[in-house]
Amino acid sequence: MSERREPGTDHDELSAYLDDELTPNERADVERRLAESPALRDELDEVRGARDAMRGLPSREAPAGFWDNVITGVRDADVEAGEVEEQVNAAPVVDLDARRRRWTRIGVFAGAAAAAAAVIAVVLLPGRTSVRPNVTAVATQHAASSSDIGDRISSLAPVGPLVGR
Amino acid sequence: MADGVPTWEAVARDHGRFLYNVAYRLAGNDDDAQDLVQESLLRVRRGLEHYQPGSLEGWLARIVTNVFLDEMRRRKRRPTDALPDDPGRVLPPAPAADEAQTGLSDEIQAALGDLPEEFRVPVVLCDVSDLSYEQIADATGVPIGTVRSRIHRGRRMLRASLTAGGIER
Repeated sequence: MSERREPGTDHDELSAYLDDELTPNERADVERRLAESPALRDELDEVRGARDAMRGLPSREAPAGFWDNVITGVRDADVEAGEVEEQVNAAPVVDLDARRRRWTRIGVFAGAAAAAAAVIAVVLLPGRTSVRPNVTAVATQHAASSSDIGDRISSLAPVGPLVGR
Repeated sequence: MADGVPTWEAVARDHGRFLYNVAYRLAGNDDDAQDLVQESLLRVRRGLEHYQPGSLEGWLARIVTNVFLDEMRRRKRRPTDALPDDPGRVLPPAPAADEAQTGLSDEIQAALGDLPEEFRVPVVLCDVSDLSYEQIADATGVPIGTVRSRIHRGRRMLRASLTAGGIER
């Protein structure tokens, strides 16, 4: 695919010649044309002068202390990025399915506990002709017993007298 | 170094001079050069896992060139006032003992700074970094033919500027 030449670049092969970027055939062609054309030789001298000026520039050194600062800066950027990554990694991974299963079990046990307490209240408490369990007391006792006793079955039975009506 | 891939600290230690020199010639001043080098090393740090061992200096030249061009585009979109003094800024060295050589270097650098970036970049990469045209094409994302013509035109403009300023070789 040929490239469209930009204006004024008819002799860009001269720079390529200086930079040893030509094929042997291209180089031979340039040398032939240089031998024939003073203007081309002048242009070659012109770009050679600029090239030499650039290549003669001394290597610019960084100021004293720069490398300590920049290495510290990059390390600090590293640490900061690492701290963010650590915080992200340290966050607990939540297994939503396990969580749903656990709350389902809790709900089942809580419901069973409330039902059991209601039955007990009707059967054991004399003079009661209507079932009116004190839901608040049952729930409170269930919660207290659940936290005190790790055994889920034991937690179904109330550990203290029902309070209230 | 694992599998021929250096650490970023090794890059800073072994190629820092190359990086700084290229950055300075592109930017034209120490303040901007320092910023370019720091940003370049951050990109080196991030890019090392993707680096394929080969021409490390070609890869570094590509990075610092991209950092420089990104900064030029940013400044064109949002010109800023002079930045306040940065206490962390490292001051440039005192003038060299050889004032004549320093003066000549400053003149050449000033002429280089007057070149539009599209010409300054390939001239710097060719004559300061000593990259091949192919490496420059890869670093700048333009065809080799365009690299060749821009180097030639850049040198002619540079020569004209130096001649106009009374500095002639």
